[in-house]
Amino acid sequence: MKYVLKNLKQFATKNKLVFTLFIVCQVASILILLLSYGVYLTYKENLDREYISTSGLYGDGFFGDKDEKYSKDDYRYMLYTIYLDTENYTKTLGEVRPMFYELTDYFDKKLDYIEMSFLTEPMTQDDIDYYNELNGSGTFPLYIMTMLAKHDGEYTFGKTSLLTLYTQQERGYIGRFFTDEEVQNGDAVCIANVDRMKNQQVETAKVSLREDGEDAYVTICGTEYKVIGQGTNGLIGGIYIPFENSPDELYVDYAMFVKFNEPLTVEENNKYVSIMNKYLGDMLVNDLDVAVVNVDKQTFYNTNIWLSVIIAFAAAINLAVLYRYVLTTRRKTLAIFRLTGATKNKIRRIYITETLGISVVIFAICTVIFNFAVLPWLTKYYPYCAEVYNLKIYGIMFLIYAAISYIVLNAMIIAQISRSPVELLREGT
Amino acid sequence: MFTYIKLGYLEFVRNLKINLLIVIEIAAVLITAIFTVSSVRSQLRFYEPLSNYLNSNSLYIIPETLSNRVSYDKQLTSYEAIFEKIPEAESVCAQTSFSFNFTGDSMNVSIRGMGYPEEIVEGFKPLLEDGKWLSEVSQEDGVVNAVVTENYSNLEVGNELTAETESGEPIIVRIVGKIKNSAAIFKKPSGDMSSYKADDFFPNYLINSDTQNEPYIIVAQEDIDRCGYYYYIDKCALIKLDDSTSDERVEEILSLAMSVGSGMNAESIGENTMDEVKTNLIFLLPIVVGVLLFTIVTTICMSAINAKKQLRSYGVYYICGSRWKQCVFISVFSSIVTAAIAAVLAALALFIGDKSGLLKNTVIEFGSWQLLACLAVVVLYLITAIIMPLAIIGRTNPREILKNNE
Repeated sequence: MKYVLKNLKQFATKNKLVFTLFIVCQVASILILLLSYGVYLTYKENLDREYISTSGLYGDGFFGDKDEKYSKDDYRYMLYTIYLDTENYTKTLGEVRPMFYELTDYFDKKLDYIEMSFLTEPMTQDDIDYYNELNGSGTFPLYIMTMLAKHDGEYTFGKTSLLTLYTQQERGYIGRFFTDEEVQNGDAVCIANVDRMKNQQVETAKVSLREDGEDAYVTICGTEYKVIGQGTNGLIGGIYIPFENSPDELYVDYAMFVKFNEPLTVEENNKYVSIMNKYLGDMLVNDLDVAVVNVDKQTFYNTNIWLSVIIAFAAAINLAVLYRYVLTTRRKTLAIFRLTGATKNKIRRIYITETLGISVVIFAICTVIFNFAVLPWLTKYYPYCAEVYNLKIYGIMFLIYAAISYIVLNAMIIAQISRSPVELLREGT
Repeated sequence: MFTYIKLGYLEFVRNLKINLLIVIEIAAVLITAIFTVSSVRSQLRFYEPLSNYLNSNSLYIIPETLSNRVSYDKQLTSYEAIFEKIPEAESVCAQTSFSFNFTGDSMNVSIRGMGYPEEIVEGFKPLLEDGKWLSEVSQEDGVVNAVVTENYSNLEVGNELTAETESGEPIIVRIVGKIKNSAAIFKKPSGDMSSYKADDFFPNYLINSDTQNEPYIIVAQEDIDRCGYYYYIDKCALIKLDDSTSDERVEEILSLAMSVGSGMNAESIGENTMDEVKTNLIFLLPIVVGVLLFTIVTTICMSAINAKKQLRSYGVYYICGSRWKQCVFISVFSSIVTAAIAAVLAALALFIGDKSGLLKNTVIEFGSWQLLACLAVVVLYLITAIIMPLAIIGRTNPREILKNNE
């Protein structure tokens, strides 16, 4: 350590110009390295966040984003309505059940909810004609709705759907919402419009209503569900049941909704499309577009990534050239060290400690400057920058920087000290 | 002078190892300069081919085609018709559509023809999957060079289709290039006209495996004229008017355009484009600043090291009768040798990168702007090569220099 400090002092006093350049060079390299990483991630984010025009977008369901992170326009790319051809195809809940699990497992927190309605009988041509005649404004067949989402690794009922919002409104809603335990356990509970079931006599062979004092029960395909919440017309149209306890023999209705918490990346979109095609296939009324990264933009981003790589490489050479000069001025000292018994490895360690010591201090100072002075300015141009940097990232950046410096400087130091003391003395200081 | 060059060269050889490192360093700086300028220039990629048409004296018109409500004599769907009905038109940049009269086996190929004017052929190069762009291949008699978009018709570079000109003469349509799927091509824009930018004239054309839509075959407009094919301007024409055209006449021309389709002054497109370009350049600003900082630091470092290494020689030269000024000349010539080798190395690296396909998916190109940036780097290096020895020598006398560097 004594020699390290002595060398450092000598470096700073005897080679003022080179020492200054060495420091400036390190500062510039570290700042450029930190900047490049942010730029790279921002480019990647930009490329990934290119909005995707998957068919069947639903544009009117925007209730405002409390975090003000997403605009109404963004929201269009987060709520997908999928129309299904029930005229020519039939599928049961049992057939599409794995789709729910695949979507929730893949997207996890990013998925807000999947909402799908089912019927107890396949839709007939008469039903369709009836629908069309009513133009969606009158009585429609009793449907059974179920939803699934995954939050913190646990399945839940969607928490931000229209139904949830309705149940939070006091007007017209009586009772409570599903608890997470009921959803996870698949308890036989439901939310229904009991009045409608009674008044319009929408009971079928597979759905029936039973009242017991103040309590009401709905039987669907042989399973009796206790009504825990009731809504009037306009709020609740069908019967909502937890996904885990939904009967496999129900038939898929004409529409489903998939709501995400943020717009999908290209890769995520393509995964979403492949899952939907796998389970719904021909039933999909609109083709779901496979997204392709904008190749013109990608070439621009690629160029800038290459640029960062070359700068990092050149910055390392810069330091090596400067330190090589310093070592050439120390040839005589080095020869004396060797003649007095210092091993090559010991000398290498002294020099490496000296350079890495400088690097650590400069990196720490630069990181503080970058975080508090440069980053706020940078965020104006690269909005995702602020999200990208944290202590862990700075730590990783330091390790990368230290590793590159170590490799390059080590190679250079080994080359310099490999000569014999006689050769070193002959070459002079 | 020759002595200085010789001594400069000898100085380079004397410190060969460190000079080779400096050469690599300067080469890296030249490459970063080329990359940065290419990145900045790529932001103008769509603006430049149309720049002549995006000012107050230009119009964008969307002529209706094959519409019943437009009588044939009023249509503005050909270059001839535009020049005839708008005598003030200096030049027209339009995307046209046409059909090849394929013969033999080629008749089975289902394909749509697109004609590009000279400005686009020369000023814009789409991203190619394979082959070359129209401006990069030479013309041959009896052959029409064509570029295709991604297709499911098995059209590949090197394929030759047989066709006939309008007068019945046989011609060969040679596929010289294939455009990447979803790459930008020159085509009529869509959306709200008031917010058009130059980028909108170059939408990304994606062929989807589900729809397998027909590909486009793109040829130069002059080839369509050469074949005498019937074509029509496909709702996309930019017209540059004579500078002396009065505002009233511009209004008249716009009315004419509106009567046969739609039209607008192209000035707003230019303004929107420049706004977009400015935003994108601001986005690039931190990178440009970073590269500039890096360039300055590197050139100063390299010049300082070079000068430091040569100090002893300068002391000797001084004792032998040279003045410091002449020593600086030697330093400059040594730096010129370094810069020249670095330039060759950078060119070689880019050549290898290009041939090996490493730079295929980048916007890197080499033109006059890139050359200018490289020259600026070299000049900066040479200036520091003049300043550094003088700054280091300062008021030191040769005795001290020799003593310190013995």
